[in-house]
Amino acid sequence: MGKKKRGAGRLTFQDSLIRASERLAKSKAVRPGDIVFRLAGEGGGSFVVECGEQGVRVAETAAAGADRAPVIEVIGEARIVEAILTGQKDAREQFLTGRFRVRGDLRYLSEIALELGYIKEPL
Amino acid sequence: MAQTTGLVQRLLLWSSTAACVWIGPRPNNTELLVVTNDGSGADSAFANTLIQILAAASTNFRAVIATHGATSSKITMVQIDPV
Repeated sequence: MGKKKRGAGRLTFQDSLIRASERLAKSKAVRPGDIVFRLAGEGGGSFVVECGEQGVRVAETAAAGADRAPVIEVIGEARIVEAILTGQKDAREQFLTGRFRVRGDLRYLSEIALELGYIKEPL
Repeated sequence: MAQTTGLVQRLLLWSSTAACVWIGPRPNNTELLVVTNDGSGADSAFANTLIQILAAASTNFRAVIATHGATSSKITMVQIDPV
């Protein structure tokens, strides 16, 4: 009883990312480009959120960001990033304690994070 | 361990124990890192020194190499190479 299914952690993060990307697709700040998540730990892996004219698509691929430079990259522990995406942890607090990294067009990241409610003030 | 190399595009003193720094080749292509301290004398002094180095690099348009954890934004070391 209580044995975790293999891959349950991985599925949980992708589910959370899909839900977040659905909100992203409806946001005014979204623009074409890839947002790549490189996550370590249980449930980790490389995930890409492809934003384009057709909408937003989430894929898990080891080649995330390989064929074209991502607009934004998020690097960290899967459980921390997932907790932020689901609102269980505060993004600013986790970042200031060094729990994850971000790079790329950070003004764009600030715009979408602000609109989606992950931060209360722009970066 | 990871390293981020580039110009200090922006430096923000967030609180008495945290400062944010944007490092990268261009303002729209940067990595956001932090300098933090635990409030102790030694850690605060080290953090202050890091911030002063980063501020000087920003003013003088010198590239820096900031060392931090692979999944962490906290800067543990800063290097400026000779011109």
